[in-house]
Amino acid sequence: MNLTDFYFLCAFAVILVIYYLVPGKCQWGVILVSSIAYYLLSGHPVLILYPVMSIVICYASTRFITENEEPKKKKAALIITIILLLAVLITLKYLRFINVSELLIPLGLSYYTFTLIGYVTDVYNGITEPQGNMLKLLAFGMYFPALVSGPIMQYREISKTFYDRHEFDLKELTYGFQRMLWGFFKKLVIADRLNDVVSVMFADPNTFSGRNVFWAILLFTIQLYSDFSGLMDIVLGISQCLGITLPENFKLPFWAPTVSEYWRRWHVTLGAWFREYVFYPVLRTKAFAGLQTTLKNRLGKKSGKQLSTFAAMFVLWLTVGLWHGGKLTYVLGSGLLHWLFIVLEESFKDPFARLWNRMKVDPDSTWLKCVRVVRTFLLVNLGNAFFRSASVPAAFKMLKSGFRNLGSETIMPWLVRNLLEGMSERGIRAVSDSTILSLNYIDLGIMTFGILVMLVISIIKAKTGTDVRDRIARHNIAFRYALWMAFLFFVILTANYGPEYSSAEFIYQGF
Amino acid sequence: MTREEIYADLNDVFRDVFDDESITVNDETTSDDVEDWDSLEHINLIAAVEQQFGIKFNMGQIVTMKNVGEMVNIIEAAIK
Repeated sequence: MNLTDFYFLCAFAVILVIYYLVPGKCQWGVILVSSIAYYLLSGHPVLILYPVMSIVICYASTRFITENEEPKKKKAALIITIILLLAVLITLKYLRFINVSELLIPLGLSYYTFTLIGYVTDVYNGITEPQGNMLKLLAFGMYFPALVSGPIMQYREISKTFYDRHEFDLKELTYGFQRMLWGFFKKLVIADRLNDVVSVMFADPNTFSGRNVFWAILLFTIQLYSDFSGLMDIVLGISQCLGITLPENFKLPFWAPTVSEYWRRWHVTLGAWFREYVFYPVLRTKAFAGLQTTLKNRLGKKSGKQLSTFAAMFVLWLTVGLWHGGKLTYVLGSGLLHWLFIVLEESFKDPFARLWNRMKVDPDSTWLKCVRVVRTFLLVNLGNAFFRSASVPAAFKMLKSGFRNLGSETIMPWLVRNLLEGMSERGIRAVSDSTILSLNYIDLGIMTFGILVMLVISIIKAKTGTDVRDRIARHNIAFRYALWMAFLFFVILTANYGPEYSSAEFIYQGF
Repeated sequence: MTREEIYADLNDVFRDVFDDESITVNDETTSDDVEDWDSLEHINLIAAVEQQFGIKFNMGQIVTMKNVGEMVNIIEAAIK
């Protein structure tokens, strides 16, 4: 079952009614039962044993950690728990030689594993109280909207309100539905259409060489964003309907001036998790402190510090890449290439600052900021070329054919010519009859319109820093109802439902 | 060591770590107020503070301290 399925939406309506009818102290029970049902209906039912067992292990180990006084035993319990959780993750996700069928990998494996590792570590560090009720911990660990693809939750933050009584609040409910609708728009109207186009272009780089290669990569970047951030809008919208606030996973990532800033805005909860549970512990090891001292003595304070940091960042980006999957395309495209970009950014920071100073250019000028945003966006696209390709050689081949035939015709005149030829034969019907890149011209038009709407909303958010829902809510009731209803019908009419009305799987569901 | 004395030493540590002689921190100072105080420099800062005061922060304190005031509270408690 997908969060975009019609049957899920029907079930969610029923869940909402029950959720607000039961006494407040039982609301988490409704979440628990719904989560179990969702899991059982979403794949092989027996797979539910994986998250349940992981949560039971965490429950037992956190009890042991808090009830035991000896630091060594506490540490041993933490390490054993993390090893157990990671062993399941690594065995099922990375050791392909065991030949585990995709269907036998439990849903949301890497997300709930990370959430639970964070929880046990926080209990060990004494910054959160352990949950004494195993069923309550199950409700948190299996929380159905976020189970499959995040955001990665921090128990110490979420638990502050998760188990409280959530009063029915019409505004929260309305805002939740509006956010869900915005997510459906991004996923079903934009991402799934782009999926068709991108698949065709990436599958046949010989036909789509030259500048078209760069179009394909650009469209994939937009697809990845609208797919994943759309899913997050749905997840956060569902949670808002339930009165639960989840952390944001996207903060206008394409407006980031640097690649390191981009990672503070894209998949925010993953970055935060890695910073806290991988990067900081690596930086605090004796080995790293020794490396830093050696490098400082040899190269001087500044360069020594910088080089040792780059070494620690290498470990971080390697693990971020590996988290996406065991393929080299992921390790490079969402890991080590980004590490390289950040290393270059940091290394050229001072020379560029000196250059701007010598040229008497204001480093904070608007045009320079724009250049930085565009440069960052292009670097992210380069990473995505590897991320999306079937293999690293395929990505190189595709980029090479892009640069080699740079002067060749782009897809645009080809699209226009095809339409005109079609129209000379079939008249206006050609608009819906001619299929180009697996979509007809109506679909291409809707897709382009959708991307433009997403861009305009993004510009408004970046410029004003306000929630667009608040801006709409300020208008009179007739206007805002008309607007939301028009948007709802637009999404229903133009959603790309796919065969048998089941949308394409969310990309980040696979990680 | 009084809180004022801790702050005097702490200012030196901040100036050294961030290479900026103009830095003066107080209870309310956060990472937003100091240029270059990002997640990377945070750990370098922590290591320098530990060395200066001969103390050890635990990971829970490192990730949850919200401002310099909280850092000084931990230092105060540790050197008592």
